[in-house]
Amino acid sequence: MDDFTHIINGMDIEGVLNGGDLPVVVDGRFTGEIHAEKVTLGEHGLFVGKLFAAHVEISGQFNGELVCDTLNVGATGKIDGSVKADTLSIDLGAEVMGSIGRAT
Amino acid sequence: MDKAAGNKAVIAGGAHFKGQIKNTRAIEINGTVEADLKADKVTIGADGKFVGAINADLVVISGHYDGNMDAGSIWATATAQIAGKIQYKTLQMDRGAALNCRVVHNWKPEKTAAKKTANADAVADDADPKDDKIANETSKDDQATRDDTNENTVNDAVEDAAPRSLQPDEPSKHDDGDFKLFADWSKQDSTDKNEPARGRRLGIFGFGSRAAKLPDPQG
Repeated sequence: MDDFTHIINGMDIEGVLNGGDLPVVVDGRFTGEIHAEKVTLGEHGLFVGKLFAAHVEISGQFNGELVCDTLNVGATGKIDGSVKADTLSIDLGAEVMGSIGRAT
Repeated sequence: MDKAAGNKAVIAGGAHFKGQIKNTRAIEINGTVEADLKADKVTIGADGKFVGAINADLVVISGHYDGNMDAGSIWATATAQIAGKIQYKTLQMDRGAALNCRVVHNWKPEKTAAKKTANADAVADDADPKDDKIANETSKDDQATRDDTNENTVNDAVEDAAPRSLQPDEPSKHDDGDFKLFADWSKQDSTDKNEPARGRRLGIFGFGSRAAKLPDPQG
């Protein structure tokens, strides 16, 4: 997949992003809401707000609310907030603070 | 997923973003964005739609844009559709681009001072309702003209300036530096409001032509 929404490192975005069908990669700073199919939070990424997606990979800093079907937290991932996922995977080294539950 | 590090930011097709974008060097927009943007280089793709203000060094527009754009260099390609207002230092417009906007050239600083004086005169003159009507008549013909602000300034100044300073039989003056010529004219005060139908005299673009004979002061 070459075409995806890429918020690169150094960028500072605030607002509501509706990703459409294509994946969203956040390597910068995003504050607000994301509604997408697949979201990847890169190692240098910082997300504050609400995230609604089907597939989520978190390798960076996440503060806020997360509602998804599939969640994969990488070794560098840090979550602070509430997580609601149907299928969950947390790698060794990740930091998860808050509540974890199922979406349905 | 293959991510090229330090690349340009991309809003993919189908994505919709509304908010603020800061700290961007290069961004490519193939989706819909409602935001104010300050960046170095902005590319609006053919499917892209941008609503909001853009302040950038280089803007390449192949899609829709609506808002106030202040850029150094603007390139509107064949599929561009622009509404609102664009301010530029250099502009390239490909055949097929649709400009439904106000197009303003950012003059250099020394000319900006003269233009500001002229604009102040034009603004004071336009307060006269008769002038507004005439200005509307000319601008109706000139919807495709690039420099709207320049034109209003020029029209006010030309009434008095033309009989005094320009001889109709000097076509070479029209060829080079038309803009400089009118910039000089616009420095002069325009006091006489009784000149009729300036649109006819000046041709459809408001700049006159070799063939357009300007009338004598007496008749």
